[in-house]
Amino acid sequence: MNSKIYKGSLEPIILKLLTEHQAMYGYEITKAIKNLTKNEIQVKEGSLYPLLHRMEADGVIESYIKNMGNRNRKYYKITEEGQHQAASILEEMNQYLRIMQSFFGPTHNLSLDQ
Amino acid sequence: MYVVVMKLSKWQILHLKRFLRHHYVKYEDVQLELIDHLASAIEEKMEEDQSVSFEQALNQVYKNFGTLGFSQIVKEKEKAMQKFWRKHIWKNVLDTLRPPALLATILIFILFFGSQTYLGFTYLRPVTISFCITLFAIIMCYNYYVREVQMETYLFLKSYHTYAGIIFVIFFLSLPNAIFAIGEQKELVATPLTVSLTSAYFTICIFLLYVFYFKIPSGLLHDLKSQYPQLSTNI
Repeated sequence: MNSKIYKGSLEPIILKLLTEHQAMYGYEITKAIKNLTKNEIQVKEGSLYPLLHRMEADGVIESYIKNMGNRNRKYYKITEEGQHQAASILEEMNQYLRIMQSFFGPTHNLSLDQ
Repeated sequence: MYVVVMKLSKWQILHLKRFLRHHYVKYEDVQLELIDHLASAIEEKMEEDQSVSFEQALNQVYKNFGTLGFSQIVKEKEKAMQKFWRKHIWKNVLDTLRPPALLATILIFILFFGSQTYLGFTYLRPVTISFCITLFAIIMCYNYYVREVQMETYLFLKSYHTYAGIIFVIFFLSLPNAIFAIGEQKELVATPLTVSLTSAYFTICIFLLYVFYFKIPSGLLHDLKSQYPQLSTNI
């Protein structure tokens, strides 16, 4: 990630992507994030894979291997437990964004006289 | 879905495997994912700019892994595997503490307790039983480890063997050693407490042998084969 602000957002982003898609592989996830954010967020491989492995160990996501001809590919998909977690994390994320809007949104008013 | 027409050759994929080994990624299950990542990125780079050679593309892609290279990924994968096995082993222990295995465990305890109470409890008896259980454990573990020749190849297997090894050292080497040492120093007195403790220890040993060297390993290779289908041709 290219900013400290984005740190901690990678897990919700992966959960959201895997909720929307059936299954994705590591490189596909980095490309999807890069394209969706128009190069604003570039996921470092050193951050992505450890996180995917931790999420897999936690049972949030699971993986399977598919033969691609010249090599094998590891796909990740969300588990049932992960779907519950995704719903709650995405709700938390929306709440966080709403709160941040009150500070940084276009109609923010930081006056203490209200 | 990202469609890339350019495909690396078999030789180039083998080169990536050697490249990873050279950078201390020795486990097949970790290599598999990194090979695909490197290959996908290289294919894309070579397709975007056809003047870029395979080696140049590889160097550019490797730079994206930062100064730590692959080491951070391997380290974190090891941690994740340990976490996975802690959960999985605990689940198996709890699953075994249900009928009919629970009944068998209780029967084994009664058998040890009864034999020591009614056949006479001398220090020689727990020492003999410890010796027999240790010998049995060594034979089982030896058979198991000989069969699992690929444990150094797959992190999935190696992480499990670490835990199985710890259990073996604590329960089948250290504790019997302690019993032998106590037996040599003084005569163990047969009290309800000593008989219960030694019987509980022997029962736990049998229980752990079953869980660590029979129950979990019986599903271990199946899990690995279903995850890594290419393994089936190697065993």
